[in-house]
Amino acid sequence: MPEADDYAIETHDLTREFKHVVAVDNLNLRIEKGEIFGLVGPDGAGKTTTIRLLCAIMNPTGGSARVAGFDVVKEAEDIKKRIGYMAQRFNLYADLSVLENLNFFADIFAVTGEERKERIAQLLSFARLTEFQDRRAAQLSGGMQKKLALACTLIHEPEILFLDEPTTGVDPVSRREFWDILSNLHLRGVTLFLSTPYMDEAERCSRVALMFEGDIIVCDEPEKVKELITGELIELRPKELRRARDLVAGWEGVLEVQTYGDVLHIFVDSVDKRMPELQAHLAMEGIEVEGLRQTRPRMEEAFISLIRKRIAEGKADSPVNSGNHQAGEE
Amino acid sequence: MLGRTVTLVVKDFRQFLRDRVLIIFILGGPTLQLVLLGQATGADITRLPAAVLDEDQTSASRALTVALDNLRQLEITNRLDDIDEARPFLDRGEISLAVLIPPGFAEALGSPQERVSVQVLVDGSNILGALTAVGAAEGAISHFAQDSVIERRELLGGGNPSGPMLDLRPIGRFNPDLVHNHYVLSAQLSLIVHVVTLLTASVGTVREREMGTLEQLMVTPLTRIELIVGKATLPMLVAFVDFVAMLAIVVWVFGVPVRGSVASLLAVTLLFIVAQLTWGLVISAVSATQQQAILLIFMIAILNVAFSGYLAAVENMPLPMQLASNFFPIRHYLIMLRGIMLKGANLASLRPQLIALTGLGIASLAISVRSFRKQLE
Repeated sequence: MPEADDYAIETHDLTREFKHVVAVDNLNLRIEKGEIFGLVGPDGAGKTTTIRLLCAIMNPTGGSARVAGFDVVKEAEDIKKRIGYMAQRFNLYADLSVLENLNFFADIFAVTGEERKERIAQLLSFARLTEFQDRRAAQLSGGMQKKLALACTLIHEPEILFLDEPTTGVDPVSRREFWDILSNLHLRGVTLFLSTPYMDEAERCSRVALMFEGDIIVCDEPEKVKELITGELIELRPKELRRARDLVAGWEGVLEVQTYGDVLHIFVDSVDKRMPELQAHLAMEGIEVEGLRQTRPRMEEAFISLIRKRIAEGKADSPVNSGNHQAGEE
Repeated sequence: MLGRTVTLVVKDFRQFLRDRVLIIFILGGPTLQLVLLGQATGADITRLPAAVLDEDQTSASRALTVALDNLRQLEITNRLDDIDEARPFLDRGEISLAVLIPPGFAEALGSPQERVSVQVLVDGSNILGALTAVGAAEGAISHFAQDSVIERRELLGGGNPSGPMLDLRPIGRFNPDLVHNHYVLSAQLSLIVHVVTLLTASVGTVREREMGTLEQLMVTPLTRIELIVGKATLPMLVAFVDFVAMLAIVVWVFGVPVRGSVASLLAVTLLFIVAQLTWGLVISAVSATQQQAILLIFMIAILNVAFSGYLAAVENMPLPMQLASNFFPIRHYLIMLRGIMLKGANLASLRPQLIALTGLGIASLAISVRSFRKQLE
């Protein structure tokens, strides 16, 4: 076990209630220095609130948290010198140029002299913004804006970087570039805490936490999360998707059915046993099959399955409560 | 500490200079307003039709009639033979004013003990015209009386020409020509400073909130005081420069005098801006969007017009409203502004207003420091 000081982030029953909803509910997290920690979950799960609490720009209503060794309430200003925060929305001055934005944050963080020159040049080149440095931020593409925002949060070389859905709304090429930058930072020892709705990004993290209704359902390495899925997975591409889905869900040995476009993912207790049965049943119902194969569960299936389980449990435990959960949007 | 504040101010200026719409709004709007108001008031009130009933029929009464007719604002269109004739003329709007010179007018003028009384009937339905007409007539009558008294004194062998003649000068003391312009334009100046300060102060900060940049600033080592001082500097300078520009227009284009010291006028204005500014920061603390802030400013501006004494005399309001008006910085500022510009008052004579304005400034500064947090709710 690492010493307490080795944790970059440590929360103890961290809670934030709003008027009508508990956005973050008794969160207990320990993140070691140098991790890439991913927070995944549906919209309104409390991801943004969690990041704001950890960045010390929002006070918790319960519990406590330490970031870089400092308390988020009592030592907020010490934290702010050591972290970088990239909000989900573009949070820079759109009417200032790329260089003016960088200079502004360099001034605010008192990065001066040669160091500042070098660092700005470096950040511009690694964000591939050098040739756009005089362009107003408003005129940049979405991907470039994200990279500029990242560059601005890196100007003071933070120990811990918080990124709230950094690649949402960014094209795949820019996303790839963005992740190259993050990998670089990871190699330099920066702790990365990011939230993302993308499962492929979640798989790149050293650990992921699935957040749902303010609560962490599971927190582990991506491989271990995938192992949590019970059963094996069959991918079915039927002609009549809706009818096939409704039928398959009721058949023996079928644990769960998820829809992805025109594909059904069917969790079964045993593929060897159920695959022939499935084929026979479908033929009997007259459903034409375009594709049927066994596949490996991905992070996405794991999370959907876990969230469904949680919803089912919630309904079984207290039917009154689940209504509140439904309204639990941020 | 200072460095970060300066950084913020420089950034604000850069953004301000790039915001053409705001600049036009802040400089063009008030200029247009002043020019329109300056043209519309005062200048057009000339040659109001008036009637005279001369029951004295002396050279003095005839001289007064001529003096009235010579006024820029009046023209004697009718001569009456009976007081009852005045009413129908007024009713039909054919005259705005009737001046009744009583028998014994000349005699009264000649005797130091007698009170000289001249009756003036006025069409009050046109309040602006009525004010101008009465003001002009009163001015002419008192001048006339004064001159007569001086002449008489001189005939009697000199002496100090002061004393009872002042009884005849009830109004028009600081604005002898009753130039409505001076009165309106000075009030307009105070309103411009009021609105521009609130607007630049709140919009600048609310925009940062709306754009999310305020959230980004919260994650920096900027302190709360640095943020407040930094965000307050631009509005303060903009409002001040705006005031100086508008003052120049008011003085040089419309001839409104600055009888007192220009330095005290600027000092008082700066104090007013500070007292307003903190209100701007309060507005920005409670508004989520620029739209909300602008609507709030609009509402506050209406209250300020009411309580400034610009359109309605505060003295005529019910007591609770009179008391409430004291909490509006503009109430005190307008008294000082008019005092310094039109009456040539010095700061010592305006001490109550100075104290009130300082108190309000400190109070709202405290409120804004309290309400401005480096935290999201």
